[in-house]
Amino acid sequence: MGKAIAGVTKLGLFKLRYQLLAIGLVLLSLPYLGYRFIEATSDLLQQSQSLAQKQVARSLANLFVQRPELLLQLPELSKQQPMLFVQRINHTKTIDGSANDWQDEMAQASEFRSPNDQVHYTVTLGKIDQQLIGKIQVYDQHWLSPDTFSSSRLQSDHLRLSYIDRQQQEHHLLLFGKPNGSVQIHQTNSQGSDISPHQLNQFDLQANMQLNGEGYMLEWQMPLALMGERQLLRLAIVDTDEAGGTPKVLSTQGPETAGYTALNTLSNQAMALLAGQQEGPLSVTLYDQQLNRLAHTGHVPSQGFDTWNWQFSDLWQQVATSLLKQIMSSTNPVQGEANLSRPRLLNLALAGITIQDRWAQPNSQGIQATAMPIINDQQEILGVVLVEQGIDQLLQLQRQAIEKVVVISLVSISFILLSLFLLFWRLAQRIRTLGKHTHALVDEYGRVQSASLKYATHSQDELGDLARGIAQVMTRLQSHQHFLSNIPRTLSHEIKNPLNTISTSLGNLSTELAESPSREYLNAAQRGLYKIEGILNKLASAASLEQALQQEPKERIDLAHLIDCYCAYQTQVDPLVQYQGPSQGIYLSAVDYRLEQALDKLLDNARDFRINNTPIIVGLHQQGTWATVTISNQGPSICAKQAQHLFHSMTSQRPEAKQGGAGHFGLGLFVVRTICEHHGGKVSWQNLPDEQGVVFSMRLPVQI
Amino acid sequence: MNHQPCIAIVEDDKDQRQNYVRALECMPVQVLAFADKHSALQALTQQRPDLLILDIILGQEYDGGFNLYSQLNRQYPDLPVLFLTERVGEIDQVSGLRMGAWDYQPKPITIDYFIAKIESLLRLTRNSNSSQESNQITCGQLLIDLDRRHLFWQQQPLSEFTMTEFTMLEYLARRPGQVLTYQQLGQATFGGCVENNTISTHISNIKRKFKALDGDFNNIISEYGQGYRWRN
Repeated sequence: MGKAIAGVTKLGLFKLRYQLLAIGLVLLSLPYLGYRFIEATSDLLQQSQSLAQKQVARSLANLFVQRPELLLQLPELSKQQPMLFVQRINHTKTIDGSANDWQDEMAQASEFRSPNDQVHYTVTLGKIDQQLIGKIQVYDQHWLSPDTFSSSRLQSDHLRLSYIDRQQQEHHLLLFGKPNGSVQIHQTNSQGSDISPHQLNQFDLQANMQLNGEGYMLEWQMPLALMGERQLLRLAIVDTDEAGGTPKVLSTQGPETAGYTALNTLSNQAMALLAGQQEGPLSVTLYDQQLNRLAHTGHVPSQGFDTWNWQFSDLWQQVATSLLKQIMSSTNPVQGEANLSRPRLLNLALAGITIQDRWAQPNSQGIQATAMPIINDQQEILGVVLVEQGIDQLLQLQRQAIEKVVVISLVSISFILLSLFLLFWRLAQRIRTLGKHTHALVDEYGRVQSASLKYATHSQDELGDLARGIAQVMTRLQSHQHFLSNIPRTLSHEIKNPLNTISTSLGNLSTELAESPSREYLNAAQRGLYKIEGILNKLASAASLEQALQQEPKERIDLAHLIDCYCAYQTQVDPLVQYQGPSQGIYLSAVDYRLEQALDKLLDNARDFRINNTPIIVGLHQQGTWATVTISNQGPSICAKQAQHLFHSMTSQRPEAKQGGAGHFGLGLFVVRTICEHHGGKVSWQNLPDEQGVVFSMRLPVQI
Repeated sequence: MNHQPCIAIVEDDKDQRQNYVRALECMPVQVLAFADKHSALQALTQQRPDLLILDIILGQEYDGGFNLYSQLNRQYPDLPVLFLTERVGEIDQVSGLRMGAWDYQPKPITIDYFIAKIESLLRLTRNSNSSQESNQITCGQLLIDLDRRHLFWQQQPLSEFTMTEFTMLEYLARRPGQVLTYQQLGQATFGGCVENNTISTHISNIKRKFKALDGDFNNIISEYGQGYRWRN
């Protein structure tokens, strides 16, 4: 742990790391809490639903215990024998030979196989609006068209449909499918020896056949009114695998006379009893000991994910649906498929076990079912009550809740992410601004211009700590800088008294030793004293130059005239000083003698570094609102290393021989730079082409 | 019988004080030397000196010289004073001049210049006390009363000129139109060669004091690179 910075406020919970931690925890916990809530609610609802369903099943079972005669109306069937089974369907089917609109009824399909599995097909029957609709899927990879044999259609693949009408007369229809889907219907006698086109009108019977990957499917529709009260029906598939082969016939072989199956197995009394007891969206089916359906009421509405009304884009909908399916499958597992679960349930119930199960249904999300055995006082099992209930509603609520949680979570996370982004963007901006303000406190030469940091010092967070820390450091640096800058003045001040003592002592000694040969030593001492005084004055003057400049008023002067006059006089002293520029007409606001001082320094510099007997060129030109004074000399060039500190105080590149006793402390270019900057300008240097010398430039703003 | 002028020196540094006294022994003057403010005040309230030479820092008292002069000035309003001090800041100079000091001389000083300065001040003292007509020169609108060390511009008195500035202005005004180099001005004013910038700073101060009285003053012309000249 580092030491706390003095004066820095302890921030506690306001610290950024705690703020970020709090935001992160909220971000993480939001979807999890929502998920847990939904899961708990879902469990509760499922348990409630299961309990309620079991109560319904029990009450119905008890009801039928009191009416055992309703369960004993049908002849006993072999449990091994499949039978035709008519379902109540809720929507009409398109007779197109396709299974697309049979998804809800597929679970109730009856399967027929020949002993040697040579012929195999499934039959699904449905009843709606006094119409019987049927679908046969024949699993036969070698379908032979009736058109193949012009002599005898009976040797091609076809369906034989027989029924008994109200007058107890048998009718035998032959349905021949064609590759284009059309079906030709013929009628024949019981021996099948006389074939003639069916004469019924188009509303009597419609059929369509389509070949598919497994064989072919034949779909038909006929009015139930064609059949008698018991609706006796027999179906048979005729399969011929090769031309001239013997057709194989596999009939449904129902329990009635001549192999008919009575489609209407339902007991009207049982139906009425169930209808009176049924409440809500339940499907209740009553089975006898042979699992014949005796009565059925209600239905389980199908509803799937696809019916969700998302308001988002298709892509988003796909992603969301996929995501939700994953979630739903983990929170609402189903134990199997309908065609496996329902028989298992019924068989267990027949064994005297009350059982509940859930399973998936094609194109639907799930069924919850309770199978309750009907047991009389003698402990005989009379039948089974099967109560089925869609868990759509429950799942719908769950889905809606999850949808809301997902949406709210996404919105919340987006909001939090946006907040975090804004927070960090703001933080970054503040750090940058603090950096700029801090940078502005120090000039390019590393001098602290001001210790007053005017940004973020009142903030209560870590940035405020940082700003206050920087301000404290700057104050210390400025104090130290002030101490350093005062050293020459302090030194000058403190040393002047002893210097005065020496000076006056030497003066008196000089009077006394006026004629003495030792006077030459006295004179040397006086010269040394004079040099020391010069050094002190220069140091003190340079140290207080900026302060002095601030107190000196600027005037409008003609820079061209100043330099022209200045150079004219310099040329008298040193003819190699040449001026190249206008003699008047470039005005600026300046302290003239300070510009003279700067020129003195640059000219001294050029004289010291030039090659003997080479000219020093002083130039002046105006470009826009800037005037540039150049002083160039031939001589050694300046290397990059020297240039780094060229304009710093007390930096000299002069060779030792030219240092002199009291002359040069590397203050000249520092003075030039300070004067230039005071006038809003800048001083720079450049080596002459071919490294033949150096040119210094003072760039000053002109006054138009 | 000639009256010997009395020069009082207040300097806390023993060596410097002795050197001043020793240097003045060659002059026909009476010298009173004091090491501190208290002894000086006690003696000088009894005897008025003709010239007072004061260090500003006396012992532990940072403004001891100023305080001593302030007390003596109440008793002797026209007492000529030379501040001879290591404090060379402009604020100190202005403070001293505003209190009525005749000159403000920074240390270190050479004995020759010290004696010349004393002689000059004594001459001024004598002349200012004389009832005879003052020695004056006129240069355009500038009137210089050399004896009383008074300056007038457009008949308005100019004040707060140090002896250095007075001498420099006199040197310029006596040679109107003539370019006086930095070396000449340094020699005339300081008795030797000084930095050009030192001369320029004094000229700037002189101009500022003229402009305080006359905003259009433009009679001291900069001859860039050489020096200055007075223009009538």
